[in-house]
Amino acid sequence: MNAVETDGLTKKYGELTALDGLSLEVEEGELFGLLGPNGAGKSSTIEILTGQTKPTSGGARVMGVDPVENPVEARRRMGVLPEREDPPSFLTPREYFDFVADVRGVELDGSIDEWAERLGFSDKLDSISMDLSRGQKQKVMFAQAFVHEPELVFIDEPLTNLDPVVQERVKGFIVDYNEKGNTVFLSTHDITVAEEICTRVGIIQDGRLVAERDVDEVKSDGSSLIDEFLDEVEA
Amino acid sequence: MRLLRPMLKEEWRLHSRLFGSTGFGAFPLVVLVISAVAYFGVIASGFSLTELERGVGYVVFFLGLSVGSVGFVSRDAVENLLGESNLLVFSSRTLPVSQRRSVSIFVIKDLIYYSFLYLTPLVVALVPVAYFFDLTVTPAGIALVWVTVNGSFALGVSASFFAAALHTRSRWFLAVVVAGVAGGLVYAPSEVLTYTPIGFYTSPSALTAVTASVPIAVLAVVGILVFDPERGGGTQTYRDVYPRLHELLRGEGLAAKMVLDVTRSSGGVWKIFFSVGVLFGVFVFLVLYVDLVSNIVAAPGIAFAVLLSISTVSVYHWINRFDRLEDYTSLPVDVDEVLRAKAITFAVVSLPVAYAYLAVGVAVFGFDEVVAGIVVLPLATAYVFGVTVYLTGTEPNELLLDSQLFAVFTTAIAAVAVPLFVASIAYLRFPFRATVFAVVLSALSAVVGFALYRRANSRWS
Repeated sequence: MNAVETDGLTKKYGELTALDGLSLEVEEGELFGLLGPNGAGKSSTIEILTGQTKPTSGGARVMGVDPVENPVEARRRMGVLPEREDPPSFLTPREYFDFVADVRGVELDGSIDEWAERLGFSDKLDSISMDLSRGQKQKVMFAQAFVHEPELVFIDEPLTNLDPVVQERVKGFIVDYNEKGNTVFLSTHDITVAEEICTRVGIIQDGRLVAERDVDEVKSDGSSLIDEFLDEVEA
Repeated sequence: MRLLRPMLKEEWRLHSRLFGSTGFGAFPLVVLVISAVAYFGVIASGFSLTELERGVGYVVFFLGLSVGSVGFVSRDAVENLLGESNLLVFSSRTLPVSQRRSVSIFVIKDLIYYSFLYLTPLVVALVPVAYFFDLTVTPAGIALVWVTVNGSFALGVSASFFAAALHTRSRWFLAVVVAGVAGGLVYAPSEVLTYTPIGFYTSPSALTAVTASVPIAVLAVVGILVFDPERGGGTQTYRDVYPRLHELLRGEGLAAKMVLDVTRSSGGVWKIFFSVGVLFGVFVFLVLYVDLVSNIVAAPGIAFAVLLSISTVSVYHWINRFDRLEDYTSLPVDVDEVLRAKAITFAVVSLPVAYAYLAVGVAVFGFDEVVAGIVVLPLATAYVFGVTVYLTGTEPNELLLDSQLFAVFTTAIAAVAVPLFVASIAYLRFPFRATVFAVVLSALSAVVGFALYRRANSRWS
């Protein structure tokens, strides 16, 4: 079963076409990277797949649910880490996790402290989120996407603002999470990260999927993902 | 409750952080005292308690309209108002909760907060004034006013949100609906009022409770259903008008940038017309439909000018929603230049809108009745600007809920506004002397306003 499917997805904002008939499939258990230059349509794709916005035409399914028709149910089955999203400014991280657990209907038990320990914000759990640094806010948002242990997670630029130590921990966590059989849909323009952790990538440009690559095959061919990427987007 | 309770907590934290717990907590008390003083003046002028209570209902409706207009500006206003921050209302980006539901609960949270901060003190302030003038008040009567005032506010919020929601679908349909309501108010005002909380206040019964509640519920539910949060998404393109604007403003580049910020942000120039027109709308309504007001203010030009000048405080809010002083630290400009640009932007944006409303006053009441206001308007506006910029710098939103600052601001504005209102009333018997008094007082206040603006430069540098 496919965890993610899109069929001829098109999104227009007035005269601007953000997505132009995008069709792709991501199987369950994949760590899929959606790569593309700025403005290629990566964020629009994630916004549609997470039920934030409706396509102009075309369809999509995530974990068997249509995110356009039933966005709340779709988000119930997934975790979402948008690129530029902060925790609510006037709640502490601990309060925010309580809120997330409440809305998602899950028990967190001691996992808040585990997450804080793992990502290194234990001393900030009871500080108001507005006072956290950008990196600390990013850690809190990263944790909220995983606390309910979803089978599918959408992550938009996961490593922005994180220090190198935490970047390594986050990459390791994503790989481990994927190896447990969960699906991760990663959007990034950091090709090095995609090459390091993804199992398969799709390259998007001008709202169209222009190439798909198995990362292991690229490596075994003696090529590199950055070369493949540049070949596609500069073609 | 799982969304409402955290939102209430968030609201308290937001404001207590901005203004301090004591300052924010004392705000209802300040509203109570200021309202009681105002009511004292109203009753002393010859109005009955019933007329005063009904008047509060009208004013609160327009306050609700103003609060509900947040739907026109959505997320960018919140971010620009609070800086780099996020609110629970935007949780639908990551959590299984719909945007309609989170917005609905956000509005309910606002109703609870406004009821606590503004509406309940407004009602309670009637009690000491009634006792002072030996007027009869009963717990049941106060409860009736409380329900009416909260209902009027809810009607204003839901009407405004409905208009904002319709705006996301069809501006033409919105124009038709607004024209229909305006036509109904002109040709059959009492019939329209029957379907509002004022109708319930006038004739309280189970039937009027239902007829007053239904429009609120319908407007709120339909508004939520038709609201399209995606509207305006994507990239907008504009012709490059900066050079032309720069030239028109005689090389004032910062002001040109600020004018573009205000006019290109969500709601466009219409948000300025709306926020300046709220008080004006209340007053025109009272003059047209409340006999006692029309008898006292037979020549409303000066009163119009004063109200419009006070309303321009909202323009200063808008001008400061899209930048902060810190934003200019990377440029070779100092605070003086930023405040000068704010002053120019304020004049360019607020005065044409205020004069447009004054022109409406001329059309409704005649040139002779309004002419004095044409001179008073810019002078009184200069005073209001000077007071606002001196007290708040570039953060006028602090006026909203900082009780001390609000008290000082209200006193400073009342010091000029009250004598000008008296002049407006005296105009009926002494038109020449009242006009001269109003022009001289407003000219002096403009000088004070200019001095305050100059001192603001050093105060906020």
